[in-house]
Parts: sequence; structure tokens; C-alpha cells
Amino acid sequence: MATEDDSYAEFMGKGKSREKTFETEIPIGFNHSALLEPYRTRYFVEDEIIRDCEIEVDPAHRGIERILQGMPIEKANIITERICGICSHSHLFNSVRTAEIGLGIEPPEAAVAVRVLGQELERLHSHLIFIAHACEVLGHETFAYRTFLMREPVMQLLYMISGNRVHYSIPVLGGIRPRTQIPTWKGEKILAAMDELEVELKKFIDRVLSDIMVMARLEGVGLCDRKTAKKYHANGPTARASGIDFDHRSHMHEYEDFDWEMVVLDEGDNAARIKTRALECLVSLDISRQCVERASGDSDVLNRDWETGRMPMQHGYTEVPRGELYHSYALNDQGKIQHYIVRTPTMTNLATMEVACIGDQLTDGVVTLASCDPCLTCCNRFIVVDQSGKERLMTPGDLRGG
Amino acid sequence: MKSLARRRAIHVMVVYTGGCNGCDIEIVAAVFSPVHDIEQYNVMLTWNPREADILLVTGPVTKKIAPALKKIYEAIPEPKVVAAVGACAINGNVYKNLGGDLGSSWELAGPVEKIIPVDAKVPGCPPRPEDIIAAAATAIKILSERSD
Amino acid sequence: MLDLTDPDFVGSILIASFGIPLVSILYATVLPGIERKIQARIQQRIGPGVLTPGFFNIFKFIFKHKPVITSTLPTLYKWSPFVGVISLYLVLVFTTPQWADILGLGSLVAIIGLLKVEEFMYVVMGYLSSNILSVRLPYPDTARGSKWPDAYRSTLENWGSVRMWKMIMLASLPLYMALFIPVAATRSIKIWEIVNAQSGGNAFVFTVPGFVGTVVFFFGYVAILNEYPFSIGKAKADLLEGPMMELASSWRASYYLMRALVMFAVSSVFVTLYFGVPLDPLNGLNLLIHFLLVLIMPVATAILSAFSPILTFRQLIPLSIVITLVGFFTFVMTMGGAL
Repeated sequence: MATEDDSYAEFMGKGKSREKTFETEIPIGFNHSALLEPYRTRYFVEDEIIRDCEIEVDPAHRGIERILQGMPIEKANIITERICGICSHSHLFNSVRTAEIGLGIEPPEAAVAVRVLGQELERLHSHLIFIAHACEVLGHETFAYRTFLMREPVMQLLYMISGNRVHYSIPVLGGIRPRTQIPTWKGEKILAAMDELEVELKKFIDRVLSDIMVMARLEGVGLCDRKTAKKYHANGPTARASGIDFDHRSHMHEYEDFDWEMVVLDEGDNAARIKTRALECLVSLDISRQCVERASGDSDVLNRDWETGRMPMQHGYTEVPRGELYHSYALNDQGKIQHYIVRTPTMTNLATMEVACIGDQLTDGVVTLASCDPCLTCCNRFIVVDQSGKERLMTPGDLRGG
Repeated sequence: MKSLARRRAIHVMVVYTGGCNGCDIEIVAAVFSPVHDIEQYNVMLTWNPREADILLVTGPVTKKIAPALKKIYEAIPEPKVVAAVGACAINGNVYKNLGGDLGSSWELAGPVEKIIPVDAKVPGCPPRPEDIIAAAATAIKILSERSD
Repeated sequence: MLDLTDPDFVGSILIASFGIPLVSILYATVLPGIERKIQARIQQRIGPGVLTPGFFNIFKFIFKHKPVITSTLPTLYKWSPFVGVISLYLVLVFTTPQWADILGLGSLVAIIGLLKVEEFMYVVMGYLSSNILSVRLPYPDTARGSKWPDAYRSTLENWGSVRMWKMIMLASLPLYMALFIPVAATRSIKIWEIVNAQSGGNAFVFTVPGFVGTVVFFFGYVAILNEYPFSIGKAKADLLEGPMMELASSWRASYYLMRALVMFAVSSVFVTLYFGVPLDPLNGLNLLIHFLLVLIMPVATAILSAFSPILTFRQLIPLSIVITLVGFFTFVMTMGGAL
């Protein structure tokens, strides 16, 4: 036999006792086709119905807050961008905004427009890759390929604007990187691509909604009503698909001059979450067009007269493709970062999905987990579970004993 | 026949070890996007180490994933080729080389070379899908010329 | 009839037992490539070459080194796909006219029995192995903070076997209903009598029960192949690959060969029974038409699987019941002479 005797039990996964409420546990581990990042999900199933679900997100912990401690703010931007690959612009945007609000730096209007354009293009490409991934987890490879085909022009646009398809580094303190400004010829290309994408996207949405097999898989599955979503603090499109009408873009000063509408549905199932994101893509296209109008031309894009100095603890909220992003930090007298905190939307979205997938079949449970668009590379924290059942988040101050 | 079969049917497996995910979405774009379509070069994506010939590793390897990476590498039958994709896999990138007052992250078990032997390195942050396809083509050549 | 001194007879038996299946195996390795190419063209891209997913794939795996397979009964696990290959080989042999009267093996009961063996091999494989990616993946603290620290953990292959058990019932029922509809029309379970009843150009597929039987057969065909609408037994979305995960090198090659042979053999049985064109080694024209008609089912499968997601048991159980009932209804009506 190929295994040793004393590890036979571990090899076949036999535990010491059998719980009576469910039949078996199925671990879906680090490397899996349904997960794009390493995390571990344990589904406790009974005859294909999920009775409980537990998710552990810590393998991707890289100690980013620790690296940023004591780093000069200009240099820190490179690292905040690489917290996540899909939403890299969002992290950089939020980090730069926080410093600007705290230090009182005013970026010029054209720079703000280009930043918003970058954010909306990122929302587009992130939602499209999410829809493609959801279709792939469903099993429908043809829709996944079609969505990727639609997404390519967006990546080419980002490449044209900034020089890289991922990690585009558009904002810097005081404005935008001068290479990324939008002269008229670039603006025309962007508008042409947006028009084409709108036509393709609308055709695609109609096609998916009228497909019997796909909608039979998606509707009524992974239900998360408004009360559950509020209890577990879901945010972003996950919450807006369950009827909570809150979007940070209503409160961000960059979006004050733009004309856009919030997408809220209230079924709360997998189909609603995918539909919300598809409709948000159309809203993003609209905002992008308005950005191009404001950003075209030769105006000044970088405000260079500012100095870093002492900044008290300042926080910033942004609406990123997955929900609500929170950065906060302080600067000491030399302009070095103190006590950086990053809190990403997926932490609470995943907790909501842990509850939402109970009662469905195992395959549907995996789709539910993928439907909240998890992006965990940024969301690891220490959690202490007391014996009394109370949980508490530890901050770096707790870790240092302060 | 051996070299012909190894050139005409290749399976690729991706292992992500805690990176920012940028390289992963570029690999997914290389496989799933009809514009790049790595399948036309007879390279097929698989998720099973027993089926793989080429292993693409992305991300700086965090300490929790290092044993799993080693085990997955050992589960792949010979002949195999390992490609480290992206700057994180080659030298740790921003997580290991830039540090503030407290230094760089202690959660990393180092670039991929410290854990499993690497045959090909694809630089970039992230490398474009065209670079990934070029890396696969180089790896195919290495595979088909091995005589064992 | 078993006249072993007659050289013509011995010659034809040898060709039927060895020549036909070997040529079919060679032809079958092209079928997965055709399927993948059609799917790729529907997805608006160039796919792999036609010989890659079948022919070159099998040879590549034969040339890989053999690792140590983690399994409780390694020999049984490694040779299970080969048992499947043998049973499909025998299916091809028993549908030739030379075997029509030998030991009663030229009847539908033999075919169904052999197909069952192939389906059962998946269940056997799943219970025996444990791949590195399922339970054995090293994780620092397996049950930290969990409410159920001592739960019974099943491997991904184990769960795939349980699903294959269910699929044996759900998938086989339509297939066997469709195999029995020609029996109702000709009142005999012997393959050669069914074929002879269609000689002279009136193929069964052009009648009403034949048409309904084709649709039912098609669903059974997709299900026994574990292709996209019915691939829950080896769903890539949650089970990665199901019972076959731990197979490597030559044993994996035999699994791919088994799959290619399923594609060919079940479609060949369809052509024999519904079109009346048998695998006759002594009649070249019939053989050529047979090989061309065998392409219908895989091509239709490729088109269907390109346009459908994986269906879970929530949708599969009602679908399977409805299709089986349609087949049963047709069978009863044909038996009663109404159709």
C-alpha cells in the first residue's frame, strides 16, 4: 500500500467522531478552479445540501501594513497599488485622496477627471472579469470567452492611457502622472471603444437573461435578504442586490459634478448580484464619457507646490468595484507613514456569503461564493475568538502591546 | 514520436501563492481570451497536478503556502518545467525588497527559487499575455528536447 | 455455425474481433479533437489541432514517468480505466455480424451489460484514491476556530463517486429506453435481426418512434460521456476532476482512451440500431457509411455542450424523469403497434 499505516486515517480524511447534523465535510483548498486567490473553504454537506460553511482567508497575508510603517508617502504609492491586482487603481486612488484631504492639496480639475476615468474603467474591467469568472464557475465556457472578448478593448484602452494593462499608476500626489493625460486623439479612441462596448454589452445581457439553463441555475439560489445583508455589513454591489441603496460615490467630492444613477435590485439571489454588476457597467460607460469631455485638452494636470509634513490620522472612503474601501493613516513630521490601516469590502461580503450559501446544493454554494466577487489579497486580519464566543479584531497597536 | 507528442499536447497548471493577483488575471486572459488564446498552440489549462507538464507559479510564496507548493510540485510526474511568472515569483518584488522602519514582510518564505527549482522566469509586473505565451513556447521547447 | 475448420469463417471472425476494433480505436482518437475544435469555433477562437486532445494527448501521457499513486488499492485503481477499455472493445466486437449467433452475445442485453461495467468503473475509482489537492493539502491548522473540529472529511474523488452513483441511474435510464425502442419495433433483442429489418433503405430513424428515440438517445449519450449539461460527476467548478484525479502517466492515457472509445462505441451502436448500417468488415461501403454517420452524435454533443452550463441535481432529476417517460411512452406505443 502506498501510505503508512498510522497516517491512513489522515489520508482518507476520517475524523475521530461523526457529527449528527451533517454527513461530511468537503474542503475546497488553496488551489481550485473556482477561487482566484488562495483561501480555504470548508463546506459541511448532507446529501448535497450545505448545512454550514466556514471560510479562512489567511494564506494570502503578506504584512502590507507592516511594510508601510515608516515609509515616505511618495514611495508608499508603489506598494499600495500592489495590494491587489484587479483593483489596484482603487487602492492608489484612495491612498492619494487621503493624503490630499489631510494635507490640503488641491489637484487640478482635469486631473480629477482622469482619476475618475481610471476608476470607472477599472470598474468596467473588474466587473467584466467577474462575470466571466461566474460564467466559468457555472460551467458555461462560451459566455466566459465572450465576456473576455468584450473586455479586451478596455485593457487596450488602459494600456494606451497609462502604459500597463494592470497597475496603471494614474494618480500621484497633487494630480496625475503627466504621461496619463488625455489629449484629444486619445479621447476620441476612448469614446469609440465605449460606444462599441455598450452595444456588445447590451446584446450580451439580453442573451444571458433569456437563456433558460443559466437562469435556472442562478435564480432563487444563494438568497440573502435585506436583513441578513445589514446584519453582516455587506457592501457594494452585494448589498445593492439585496435592496440596500447606499453607494459611496454619492459622498465622494470627485463625483459631485457627474451625472449617474445607482443600481439597486431587491431579489438578493445570485442572478441579482450578477445583474447588478452588469447594469453598473453600463453606468460606468456613461460616467467615462463625461470624464473624457472634461479631461480632454492641454490643461495642467499636476499641482507641484505642496509639502509633506505632519498629518493627523485621516481616513478616506471610496466606492471600489467590490464595495467600500477604507484607508487611514497619519504622517509624522518627516512625512513618513504611521499606522496604516486598510480595510477592504470582501471581508464582510464573504461573511455574508457564508450565511447565504446554506441550504443550497454544493455546486450552487460554490457559485454563491464566487458571486460576491471575492478579492482577498487585501483582507487578512487577526481575529481573536474568545471562549465566551465574542470576537474582536486586533489592530497593530494591540500586537505591539500598546 | 516522444518528442512529437510532447510538443503537440501540453498541459499547464497555475499555482497562485498569495500575490496581488495581477499575474493571475493576465494568465487567465492569455488562456480565456479569444484574442490571445493559448489553446491554439496546443497548450491546455488543467487544475490537476497529475496531468500537468508546465507549472506556472505566481506570487511571493507566503509561509503558509510553501509546504503546499512543495507538495504540488512533487505530485507532478516527470518531465516537468517550472516557470516563475511575475516579479514577485522571481525576487519577491515590493513585498520583500522595499521596507519602511520595520523592514520587509516576515510572512514570506522567499521567492519561488528557494522552494522548488525554476526553469523559466517571466519578468514583469504583471507580464503581458503575449509574454506569458512566449514563456510557454520556450518551456515547450525545453520539454520536447529532453531525452528521458 | 461455429465451424472452426472453415477458413472463411475463421478469417472473418479474426477480422471482426481484431481488425474492426483496432481501426475504430484509431478513428476514435480523432473524435475528442473534432469536438474541441467545434467548441472553439463557436467560442470565436482557433482551438487546438484536431489530433491534439485525443491522439497526441494519449501518447504524451504514455511517455511520462510513473509516480507513486496514493491509493488504498493501487493496482485496482490504476487498471480500472483499462477494464473500461476492454468492455468497450467487446461492445464493438459484439455488434459485428460475425458474432451475431455465437453464444447469444449478439444481443442488446450484452451491450447494456458492458456499458454498465464502464459506468461502474468511475464509482470504483473514486472511492479508492486521494489526490494532493483535496484532503491531503498541507494546511497549518486544519480546524482552527471551527465549530466542528472533528468532522469526517471526504475527498473530492469520494464525492465525485457519490455523484456518479446518482448519475448512473439518471443518465442510464434515457439511454436504455432509447436502446429498447427499436426492440419494440421489431420484437427482438438480437442486433442482427434489428439490422435486417431495416435493409432495403427504410432506416428506423426516419419513422416517428425512431425520431423520438433519437432525441432520447442523444440525452443519454451526453450523460454517459459526462459532457457539459450533465457533467456534475466531474464538475470542474467544484470537484476539479472527480474520480479520475489521481491517475497519472500511462494509466491516465488509458482513461483518455476509454473516453474516446465511449464517444465512438455508443455512437456506433446508435448507427447500427437506428440506421441499420452495421460494422461489417466484409462490406466496405457499409463500413464507410458507418464511419461517416458515427460523426453525427459527437458533433451534436459539441454544439450542445458549448451552449450549456453544468446542471445540478435540482434540474437534472426532473429533466431525466421527463425524458425517460417520453421514451417509455414511445416504447409502449410501439409495442402496442400504435406507432
